[in-house]
Amino acid sequence: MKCNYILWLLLIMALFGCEDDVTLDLPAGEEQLVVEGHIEQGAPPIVVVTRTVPVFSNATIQDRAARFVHGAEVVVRSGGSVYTLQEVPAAAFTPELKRLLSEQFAVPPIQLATGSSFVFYAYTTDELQGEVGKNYLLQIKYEDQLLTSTTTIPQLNPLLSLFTQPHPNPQEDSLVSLFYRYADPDTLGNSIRYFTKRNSEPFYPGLLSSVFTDELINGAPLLSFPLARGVPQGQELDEETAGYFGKGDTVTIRWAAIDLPHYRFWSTLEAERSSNGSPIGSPKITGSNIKGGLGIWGGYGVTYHSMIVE
Amino acid sequence: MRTYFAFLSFLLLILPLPEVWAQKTFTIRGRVLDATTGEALTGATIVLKEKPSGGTVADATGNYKLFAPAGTYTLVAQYIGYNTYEEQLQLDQNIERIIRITPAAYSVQEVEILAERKPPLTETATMGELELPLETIKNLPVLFGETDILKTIQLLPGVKSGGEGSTGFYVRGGGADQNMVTLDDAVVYNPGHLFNFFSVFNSDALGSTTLFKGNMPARYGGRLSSVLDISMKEGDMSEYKVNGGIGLISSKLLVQGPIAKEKASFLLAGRRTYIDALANPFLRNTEQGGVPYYFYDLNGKLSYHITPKDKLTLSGYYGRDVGDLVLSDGRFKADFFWGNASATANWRHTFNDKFNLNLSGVYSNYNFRFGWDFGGFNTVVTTGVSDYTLKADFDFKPSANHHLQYGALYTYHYLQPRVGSATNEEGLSFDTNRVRPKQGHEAALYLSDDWNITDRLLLNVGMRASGYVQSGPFTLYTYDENALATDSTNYGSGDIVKTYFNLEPRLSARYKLTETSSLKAAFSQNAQYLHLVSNAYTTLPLDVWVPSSVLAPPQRATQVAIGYFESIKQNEYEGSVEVYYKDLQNQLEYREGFAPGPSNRDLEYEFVSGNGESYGVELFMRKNYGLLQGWIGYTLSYTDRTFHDLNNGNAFPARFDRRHDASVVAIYKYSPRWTFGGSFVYGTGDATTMPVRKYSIEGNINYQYGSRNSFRMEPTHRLDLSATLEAKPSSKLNSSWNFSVYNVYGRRNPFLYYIDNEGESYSIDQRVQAKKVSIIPFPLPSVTWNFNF
Repeated sequence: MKCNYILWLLLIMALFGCEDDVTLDLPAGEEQLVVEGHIEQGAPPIVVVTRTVPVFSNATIQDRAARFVHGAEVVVRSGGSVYTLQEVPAAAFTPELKRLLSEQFAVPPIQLATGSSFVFYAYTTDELQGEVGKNYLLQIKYEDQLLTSTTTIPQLNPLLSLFTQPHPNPQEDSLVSLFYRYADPDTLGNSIRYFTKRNSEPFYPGLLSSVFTDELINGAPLLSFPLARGVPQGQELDEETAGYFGKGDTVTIRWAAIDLPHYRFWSTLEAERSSNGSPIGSPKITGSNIKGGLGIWGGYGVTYHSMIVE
Repeated sequence: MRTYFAFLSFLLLILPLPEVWAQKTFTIRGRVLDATTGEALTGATIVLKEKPSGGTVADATGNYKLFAPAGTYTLVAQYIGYNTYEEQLQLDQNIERIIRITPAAYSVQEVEILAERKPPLTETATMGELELPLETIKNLPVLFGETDILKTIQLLPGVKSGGEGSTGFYVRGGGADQNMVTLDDAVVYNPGHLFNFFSVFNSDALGSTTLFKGNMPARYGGRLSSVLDISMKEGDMSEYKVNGGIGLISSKLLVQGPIAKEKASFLLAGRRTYIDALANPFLRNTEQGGVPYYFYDLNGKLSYHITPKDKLTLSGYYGRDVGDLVLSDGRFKADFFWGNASATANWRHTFNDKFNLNLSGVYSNYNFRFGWDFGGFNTVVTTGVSDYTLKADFDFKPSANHHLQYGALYTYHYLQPRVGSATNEEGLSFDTNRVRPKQGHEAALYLSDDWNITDRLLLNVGMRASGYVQSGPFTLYTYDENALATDSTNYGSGDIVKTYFNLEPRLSARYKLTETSSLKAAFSQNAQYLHLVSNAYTTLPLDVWVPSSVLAPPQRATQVAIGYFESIKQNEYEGSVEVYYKDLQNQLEYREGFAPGPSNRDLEYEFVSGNGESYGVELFMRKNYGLLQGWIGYTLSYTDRTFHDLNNGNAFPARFDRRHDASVVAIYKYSPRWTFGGSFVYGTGDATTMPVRKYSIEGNINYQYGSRNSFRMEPTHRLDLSATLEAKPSSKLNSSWNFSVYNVYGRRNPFLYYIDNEGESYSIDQRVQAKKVSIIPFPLPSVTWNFNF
């Protein structure tokens, strides 16, 4: 239901516009802590704590390593219990942790492979496994800063089925559009983030817009709508194939129920990314559910759905 | 509030109060004509030498009217290029005088570029009022060959352009929605075509244009910052005329003439772009199949002198931007239109020389519609405004020293917020059912008096009382922090939801220091009941007007200004210095973190409210007559906003806060056939919010932003030039060529900056680069052929 109905305006502006590379003297701003943390059912919480750096600061391996915040006190509270998370470097990641980092944080598996020089730190614990329907309070203390947030793992809200339709251009007969059928529960606020996986590729968040909520479709008994195939971020899009699947592909959808603050984080982040640099539209800023910092603490209630495209 | 209005209405009914001002005054009336041809000399000045402050200017038919107490006077009539007329008069009764004046031996009339002599700025009591002669505008450089009134007013001090090539404007630190643009009294809610590159006003069809930069007289209201009062031209009462223009991307045609000679006339004008028709043959085999976009305008006016004392005019405007679009091999198909429509009926009745009435019924409408097919759903998004207005304006001159204007206005507003609905082939449908049309009643009463206290001191005292009633049906929701409705209150059809009332005093004074210089001061308060909130880089056709309601109080402004005005060489030159301070209350912005998108709740819930201020000094120097004409304007100003919920409650510069803003405009009549024009503008860059730091989410770059509007874009400047060649006159056809170059030296003015990034997630070769986006960054030539017969 989410449609970029001002995309077309860009075309007209493009007729008259041009872009130049420029050097801007931007102030250094004030450093803030950034949280990227998730918890899903049957898995431990994983929290990555970094700091913001000036826009034009260097990006060498050392610089990037220096963005990780070490020695923070990270705790998750749930059901009256307190769990302290320990910092783990990439070299000590278990196979299970690597799978979760790939699915929840979009870390390319190749970066996590043994022998990689990838620098990454995460706070986690073996003592807590996420459960559907529960609330999780996150609290981070670092030096004199206190960051807090809460999230929930919503009730699972699986899609009903997947099906395909031919590519609108008959000449592209090897490609198909993937659709889902979905029945929305009769309570307002159900939100979904989806990821797609083609054959043995990793999961990628849906193309351009990976989240939706039921504000406009609440309680719809049977809805079908396209699901655009996710692609690795930062790659040039191929107009002809982007979003489509190929015949013979094994398609897996990671379909995650999320709560509304979690939805708003991705929705504003994707709005900021897609409108960045557009003369039509307005400046948008990614929101956050972290008090005292930036980023996201978000629960996922995940179901998986597969089909082989014929 | 109803009782208050009833009381004020009563006050108005007992007006005029002639006895109060009843000194024995007499009228001198007549016409000013060319002694050789009998042609009316529009704009001739008529004055009593002994009472210069009571002077007047002959109207479009050469008529004039003067008032003075009994006495002996010298009647003087002047017109550029003509010999001065003087006559001694003993005024002890009403007098009628047809003044015939002869052209001077060496006529300079052929080098007149301004068609009319204006009363000098030093004479009036109003401040911040400027009338724009259309003849001047026609010789200025233009974009795409289209003469544009909205772009010309941006060249005046205190008026800032809304961006490169844009018809949008900001006046004295006010938002874009604080300007009221009216065409024959009908509010034009979106005065731009094609994302404001063109205004909706076909310059051929326009009569007079007056801009008030705040401190507007009491008869104007409803906006805080300015009124641009545009009137449509009336058809010629004596002969049929056709004129038109053929340009690179559009053409226009105007036909006018008598229906009954000297009694009734008509005027019809049309304009249409044809990029679509011209480009389509070349694009037929492409995916798009052509440029699927065009716009058009239609203007019409009927004028009828029913009796010498009664005149009826009917006028209308209809314009649309229309297009369609196909993307992704037909996966996404869209069609859209937007535009204004208006109709005005006006009856002007003259009771006597001193008293007349203008009664108007006005309909005004703006509609936007965008529909598309995608994913099996057909979706339609619409928004719009409709106004139904009745107004009565009385004009009464009870004596030589008083000029009263009073009247009343009522408008029914029907606002369609941005709503959407989607249906699929199986009949499943969804809509934004919580976003409902809003209706409101706006009413105002006003009274003002131009009071000549002495020959030196002229006072304009006015009061406007305005009110707004939000009426049902309406549902007021209470939302929790997740934007989920927790409670609602229903109002039935016609129920009063919220009432606002405002008194808007207007006071201005002129004190003549000498015959050619004066000091002026003004104080005014204004209220505004309709709002348009946008944080986009440019105003968009889908921007939504919202009315005052229980969710959004009226905006208010208080403005004070003082100024010095001087007129030199019989007003060949005039100049002014004005200093102003403006205080703005109940300003609206989107809350922090708001991301526009499809939503099932009213936009008002996304607003936060705060205050603003603007102050500055404006210098203006104009040369009105001669071979070389033009003006220089300069503004130094400061504009900021303070919102409790934005920028941590700290004051921040408004986006259009522009420290320096200057323009130079010149028109040079080189020969009877060649006229050259040029304009140069300079402005401090806009204030904008830029990222200052970055961080990573899912291995991709995200930004942490600096404080609101703390980054200053580089200054903008641009030179435009034009040349107009009059073809050799023939008995049948007159024509001219206009050649223009926009942005002569190809200045790449910044439209926006952003930080671009590239590189794959989590890779070490991610890079960021600052980019500047410019609109029309190259010299853009255009040519238009204008004709009339």
